[in-house]
Amino acid sequence: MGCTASDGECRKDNVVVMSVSLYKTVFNTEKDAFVSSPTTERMTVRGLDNDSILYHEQMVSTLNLPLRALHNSSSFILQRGFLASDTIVIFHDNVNKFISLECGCFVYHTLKSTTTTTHQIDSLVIENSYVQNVAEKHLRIYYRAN
Amino acid sequence: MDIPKRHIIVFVLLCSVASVALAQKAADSEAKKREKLTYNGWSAHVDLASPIMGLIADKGVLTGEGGFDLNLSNRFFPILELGYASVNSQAINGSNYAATAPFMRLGMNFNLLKTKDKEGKPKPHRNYAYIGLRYGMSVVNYELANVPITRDYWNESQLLSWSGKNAYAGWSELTAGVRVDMAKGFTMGWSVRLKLFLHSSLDEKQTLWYVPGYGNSAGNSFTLNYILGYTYYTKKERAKFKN
Repeated sequence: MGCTASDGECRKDNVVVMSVSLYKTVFNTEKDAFVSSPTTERMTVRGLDNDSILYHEQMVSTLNLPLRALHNSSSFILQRGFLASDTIVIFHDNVNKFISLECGCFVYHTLKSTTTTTHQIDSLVIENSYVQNVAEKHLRIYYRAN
Repeated sequence: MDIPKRHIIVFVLLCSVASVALAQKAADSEAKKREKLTYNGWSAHVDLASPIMGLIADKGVLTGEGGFDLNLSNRFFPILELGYASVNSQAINGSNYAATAPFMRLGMNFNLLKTKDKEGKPKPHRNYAYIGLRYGMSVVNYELANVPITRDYWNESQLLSWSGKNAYAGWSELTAGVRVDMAKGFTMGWSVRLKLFLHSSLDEKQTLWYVPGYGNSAGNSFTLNYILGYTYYTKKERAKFKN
């Protein structure tokens, strides 16, 4: 007799997301230089060509964004407050990983490169290219000072 | 406490019992000097729990297995177990796994009872408690089909499949149980087993989701066996019982 039967249910969260940290660059008069620090912003975020809104005017310092599983680039439109929107594009490789019969296949990602418009965003920096665990930070968005 | 942790604790406890028993046995044998192993008989048996519980608990799993062991000095019981299993299981998400394979286990049972009386004379046993070790192996033909990839936000979905022939899997088992001889050599017994998956010939061993003879390859496996069989004792050993 074995205790190995499948009850058919998955008890793992099978959504793999890219964790994005928001940073703002400001001029520090004491240091007489521009410095970047984590920031909390009112954000509205959705995928490009996708009507479903991921964040709607939410005060956040981190965004969890689902990358595409069957394509090698994912684009998102980010609006900070009511300022002009930016579009970021993430290029990534996808790796299918079979987890179990109940959970099916997870798709992990490796971030390759990024591009962005620069209405409000100064730059993007890949912090951790391997997207598997939401506890890790994968990408930084540096906003320019207003 | 989740199941793998519970299995690890049971495994550690069984290992502790095993090491104490083996250490005791080693000390005894050193003190009394080594004696030659004597062949005392054999036993053949089939397992009734696997097919019955396979149908009740492990829906879609059908297993049949039996074993053959030798009695050496009433202490050591080298054992060969052979079986065949088929599995056809489907998850709620539509994933389907099917496999059929023979499996084999080689190992040894160790009688935990004293084999000699206070005067040092052999003490034959018709019933005994034991612990044992096994190495199990199976060569599996399997098919894993309709495994979904979904990314709801992007409205993406795809079904993946894997299949393989002659995929090798190996595992170890720690077992503890009792054997009871009933009338005229007919034997029955119970045992519990903790199984640890060791290796597979596949790069993605997870796709070998269920290994016949082992169970779900994703974690440890805990199983029960209830056997019925026949035990043959040599003429010399039978004479001891009469005395």
